[in-house]
Amino acid sequence: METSDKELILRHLEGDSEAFALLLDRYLTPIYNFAYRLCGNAEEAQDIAQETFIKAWEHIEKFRIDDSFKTWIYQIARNTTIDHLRKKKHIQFTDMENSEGENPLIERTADILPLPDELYRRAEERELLEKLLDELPIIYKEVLVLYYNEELNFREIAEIQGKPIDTVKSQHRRAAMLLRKLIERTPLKNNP
Amino acid sequence: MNDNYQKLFKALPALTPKAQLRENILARVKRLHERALFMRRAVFGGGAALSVVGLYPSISFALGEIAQSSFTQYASLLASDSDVALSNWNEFFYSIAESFPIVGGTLVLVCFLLFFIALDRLLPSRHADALHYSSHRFI
Repeated sequence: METSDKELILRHLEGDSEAFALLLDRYLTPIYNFAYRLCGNAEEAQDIAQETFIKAWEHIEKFRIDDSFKTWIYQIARNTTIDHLRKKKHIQFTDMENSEGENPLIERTADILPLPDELYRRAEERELLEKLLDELPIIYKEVLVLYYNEELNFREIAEIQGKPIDTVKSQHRRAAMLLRKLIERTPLKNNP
Repeated sequence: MNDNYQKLFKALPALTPKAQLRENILARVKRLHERALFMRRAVFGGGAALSVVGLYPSISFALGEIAQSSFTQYASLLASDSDVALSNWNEFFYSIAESFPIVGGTLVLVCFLLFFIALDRLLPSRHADALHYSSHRFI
C-alpha cells in the first residue's frame, strides 16, 4: 500500500531524508505540468517547479499535518507561478475584469454553455488547444487546468486560491465560456 | 455538460520534466540543509562556548560577593548548629536570603541556562528537527 503524504511528512520531520524525495517523486510531474500550463514555457516551468519544492522544504514545519499536502503544494506552485509571471509582467486580465478577477457582465449571464461536438472537434488538436489556453487570462487558465487537467474539485481549487468556493465556480463558468468563444472564433478544420 | 471540456483537456499530454530537475532540487535541498546546519552549529555552538567562557567571571564575581556578605557564616551555622537555625527558621531564612549574592548567583544561573539551551539546540533529537539528515542518502 502506498505511504500517505501525512506519513511521509511525519517521517521527514523525524529526520528521514528519503521521505522528502518520495514526496518529490509523487508531485514533481503534476506540479511541473501545472506550471507549464500556466506559463507555457518548459524552462520557466522547471524553475517554478524547483522553487515550489524548495519553498515546500523550507516551510514544511509550518504545514498543518491534518491539511491536504496536495492542496498545499499546489498553493505554493500557484503563488510561485504568479510571482514569476508578475515579474515578467505577463499577468493579464480581461478588459471587463477587475483585479479580483470579477467580471460583472459574465457574472450575470446564464449557466455554463455546453461545448457542442462540432466545437470540440475544432479544438481537439493539442497545439491548437495550447494556443487557445495561452490566450486565456491566467485566473481562467488556472481554474480550467486545475479542474480538468489536474482533476481537482472546486473545494480544493478554492483552498489553493484562497477564495470562496462560489467564486471559483463562477470563475470556472466564465473560463469555460471564454474558451468556448475562442473555439467558436477558430476556423473549421480543413477550411483554408 | 462538461464532458467535451473534459475530453478536450485529456488531449493535452502529461509532460515529463527532465530527470535532471529532480536531482537539481535534491542537490539544492542538500545545500540548504548543510547551510542551515552550519548556521545552527555556529550560533548555538558559539552560544555554548560564550556561556562557558562567561561562567568563569560569573563564578569569581559570585564568590567575591559571598566573601563580602555573611552568607558563608549563615551556611556554616546551618551545617554546625542546624537545631538552632531550624528553631528560628523564620529569621534564619530572611537572614540567609538577604546575604545571598543575588547578582553573582543570577549571572551564574544565566550562564548555565544559556549553556543548556545551546546544548539542547545542538543535539539533533528534537521533534521538529527536520535538519537532521544523513546527507549521503540525499542524492
